[in-house]
Amino acid sequence: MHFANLIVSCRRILCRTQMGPAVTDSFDHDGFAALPGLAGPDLAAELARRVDEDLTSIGLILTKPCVDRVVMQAQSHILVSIAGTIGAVGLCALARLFNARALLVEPGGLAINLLELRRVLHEVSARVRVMRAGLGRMT
Amino acid sequence: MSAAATPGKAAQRGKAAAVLLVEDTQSLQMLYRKVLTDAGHVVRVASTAAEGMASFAAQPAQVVVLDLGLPDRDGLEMICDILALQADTRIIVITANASINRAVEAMRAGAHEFLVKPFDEGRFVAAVNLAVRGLGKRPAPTRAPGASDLETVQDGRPFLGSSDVMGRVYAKIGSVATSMATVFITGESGTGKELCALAVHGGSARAKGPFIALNCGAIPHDLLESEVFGHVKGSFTGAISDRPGAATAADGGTLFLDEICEMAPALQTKLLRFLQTSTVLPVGATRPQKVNVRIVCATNRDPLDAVRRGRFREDLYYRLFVVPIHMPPLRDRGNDVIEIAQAALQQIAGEEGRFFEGLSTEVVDLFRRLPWPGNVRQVLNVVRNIVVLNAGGLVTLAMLPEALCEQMGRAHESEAPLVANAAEPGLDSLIGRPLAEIERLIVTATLARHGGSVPKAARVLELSPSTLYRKLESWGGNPTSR
Repeated sequence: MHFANLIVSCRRILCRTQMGPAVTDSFDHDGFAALPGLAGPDLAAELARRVDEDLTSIGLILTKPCVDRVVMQAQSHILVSIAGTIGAVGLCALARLFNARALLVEPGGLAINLLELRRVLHEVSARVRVMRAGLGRMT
Repeated sequence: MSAAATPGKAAQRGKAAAVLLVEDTQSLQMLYRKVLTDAGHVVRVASTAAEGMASFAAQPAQVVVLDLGLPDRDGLEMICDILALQADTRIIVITANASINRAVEAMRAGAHEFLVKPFDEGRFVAAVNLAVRGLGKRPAPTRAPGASDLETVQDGRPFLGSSDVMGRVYAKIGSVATSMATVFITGESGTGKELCALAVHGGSARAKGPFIALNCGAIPHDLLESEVFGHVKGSFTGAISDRPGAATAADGGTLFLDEICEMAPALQTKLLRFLQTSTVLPVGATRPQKVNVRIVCATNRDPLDAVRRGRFREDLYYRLFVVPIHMPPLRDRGNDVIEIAQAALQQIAGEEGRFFEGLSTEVVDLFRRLPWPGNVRQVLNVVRNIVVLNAGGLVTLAMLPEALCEQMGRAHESEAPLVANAAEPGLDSLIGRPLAEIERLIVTATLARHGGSVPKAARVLELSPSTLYRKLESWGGNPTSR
């Protein structure tokens, strides 16, 4: 297949791809709950703080009005890593889709995806803050 | 990374290693560090490429876990710099960018493993433990960037391949290994010069000593002296502690100097002095140290030509060129290419967790006809490409990289340019030279192309072998009865 045709096909597929709330909100509660255990009692609160700050930082960048496409891609890669690590399965999938769209599709499609991404990111950040607060009380 | 998928700590625990983790995302850095520390490794961390390089230069690590998306530099470029500083470092690339291109680029740059984020804890620890285990396969070797595990001594045989020309190489290695003589290995890029050096070391009484390889072409000239002879604290900016050089590290073993013709003239003088006195003087030191080192060196150039051009000291050339071993190019090794490709296919497929039945008849036929200008290294890269990009089964022509098919197309159009040896003189470089010198260059290059076989070279040059022998004797060559 010619490369240009391949890009067009990818764009069509990505534009058609819609993730319902069932997918974007899916969350591995066991994996998330196991996170403090992975870090150990001494570092659990610090890990929760860092996850919170990393997610907040990504959120701040993605809410800027004119984000560079390269920056979007870089941030979505980080988001894929963090979300997948803490069990935020839906956010991870959404970030992957967003990354692919940042590469291929026109700004309109990207903006729709960005709104959904911000919404789910906000929800996951809220969960992390609850965990962080809980761990803070324990220490 | 989930605790549910985590094997017990004891099961994870492998041989402890010094690990440098270069990851800019703070939460992930913390988590990865904790996991590796729990697995028994000693972990240092860096958040940027610059910080990582500084940390590595100050204290090299055995394993580097490297995020590709760093804020100040592409991690891929960092792989080359790390391997230039310490070629046997195992680099595990971690990235959320799971494109096949990225994986192939990383592996080609010399990465040992490519992990796609997010990954589970067990997989991560297993990758690092595997890398650490690989480090112990040879006695503290350092390796040239791009060298593969396949290019190791296997089953007591130094190389894969049973052609006559390689039989003669094996015999020569066997003869020279037990002596203390300096060995000078020549051959095109990718013919296995480092392996040959390893085989010489492995067959010698020094086999239990260290084998230290240094690529003189890959290290910046201003760092090379420090790399070879070491330095003392404060001798230059960045020399924050005493550091032994390769010559000291090889004490009791073998020092392999690859791409020796790329060594700066000033350092050649110091190397000559080292060879004459068996003492090293680290940069900034006042007292020389005595070392017991066997030197094996290699080049893909014609060393005599480098001498003629004034790039390589003549006295150093005669000091080093004691026992020459020429590694033949793959195109002169008959069916060896198939043996190598089949073995590589099984090994790489095993590493990648895939199953390939073997090479189809068409592929075998094509492989035999290809000129393989990149020699064994090119075959290994082609096979890795096939394994990475295909699910398995019988390797067919359709699975081959496009560049290889294009190369075959060009070979059909004109074979001569493809089989031309880069080390052989071009027409431009010959103009202006005496006819006798040109004759000698042509004869030397023809001999090199035919693996040193006088009868074969004589046939091509339309001379009788006895005439060619006489010419070589008159030039001070060392023709054998091949």
